[in-house]
Amino acid sequence: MKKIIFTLLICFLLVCTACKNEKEEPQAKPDVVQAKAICELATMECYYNNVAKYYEEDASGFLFWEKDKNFWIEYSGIVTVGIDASRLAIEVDGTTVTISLPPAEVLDCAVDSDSLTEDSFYIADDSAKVKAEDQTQALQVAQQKMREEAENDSELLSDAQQLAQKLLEDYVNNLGEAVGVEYTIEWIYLDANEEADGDTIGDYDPEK
Amino acid sequence: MNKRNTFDETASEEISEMNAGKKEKNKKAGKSINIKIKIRTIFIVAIAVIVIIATVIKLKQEPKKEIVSEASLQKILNVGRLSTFETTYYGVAKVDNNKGKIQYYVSYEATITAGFDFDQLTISVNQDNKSIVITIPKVDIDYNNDINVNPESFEYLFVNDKANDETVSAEATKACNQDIRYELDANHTIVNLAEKNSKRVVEALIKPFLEQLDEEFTLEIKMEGEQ
Repeated sequence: MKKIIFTLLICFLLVCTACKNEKEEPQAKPDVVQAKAICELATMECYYNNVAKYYEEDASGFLFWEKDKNFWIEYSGIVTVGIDASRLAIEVDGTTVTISLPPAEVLDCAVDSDSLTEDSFYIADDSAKVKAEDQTQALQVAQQKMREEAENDSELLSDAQQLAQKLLEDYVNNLGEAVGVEYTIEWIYLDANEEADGDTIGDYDPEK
Repeated sequence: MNKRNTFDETASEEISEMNAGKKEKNKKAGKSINIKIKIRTIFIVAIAVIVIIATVIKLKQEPKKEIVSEASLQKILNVGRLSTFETTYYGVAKVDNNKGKIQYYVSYEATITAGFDFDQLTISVNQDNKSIVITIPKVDIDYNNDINVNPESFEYLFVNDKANDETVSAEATKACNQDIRYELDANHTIVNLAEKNSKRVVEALIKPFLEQLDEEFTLEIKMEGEQ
């Protein structure tokens, strides 16, 4: 009888082991390396077609013959906006994932020199003569202005941040769903120069 | 006396015969119990073996849950609003008179939305050679709905001051709308960048998921018509 019970016990253990091995699934959890890779991929390259306006009062002439200098330059370039991935932090505590997210910023900005041709200059009829140095100066201003415009484009920056945030949120949720864990995400929105241990916790609203 | 002795002998013989019979019966009964126990043991072990074999076969036959499948990727790629990109365009339009002579320039601001139809995105998963190919439909700009010129942004640079009359605003709006459409036809950078951004978004959604759950899969993302 003892032999029978022993045999059955062994059989039972074998079956249990077989079941366990078959049902075992990978236990993956949100990972900072992957999150940073997502942030790098979440950068947006935007086409910027812009107009630099140059105006100088009484640029030439004398008394009643004084003339203003008035011309525009149309130029284009590419602005790259996104999250500085090196400042991103992610912490997993059980089923709570805390993500420290820096704000989106202008990562790169370059005027396309090929976009500047003779046709790019628009000069007012009564303008004082536009010299080569005026054009050079205007171009330098244009380059600077394009970065400023992008840095002040709150909609563009907000879109870039929301893109990164949505992709990170999807990553955590999809991973959780695949391994059968329901994660709760807590967002810490970092200020421009704040380090990842910031304390501003907010709720993410994808519709905002 | 002799008769009695004879009777006694006969009785004792009968008793000893009876005892021998009982022993024989007991022996037979013991053998039959042992056989029954053996049969029962064999029966139980056989059932246990059958149960194990059946369980293992059943588990092997059950389809393994596929984490990476077209359905799971479709769900992940339910990007909705991530499939559109908006850009602000600052341009300059020229306004000529009917003799082709430039009257003035007008600078304007417009918003352009470029995107792709998510329903047209195709996902192909090959479980045998562990490869995934995602094809993104061509990004397109609907000239009637995706371009919005803002008339409040207009600024003028007059070449002919006499052209500055009450018709300017209407003329300028028409010229700006024509100018941006012409620029978009001639310059595909906006569309190209939107396609590049779309590819990166799709990669950001899928790649980390694959790397953590089944890194054997290779991922290829391409635009429609791309080899």
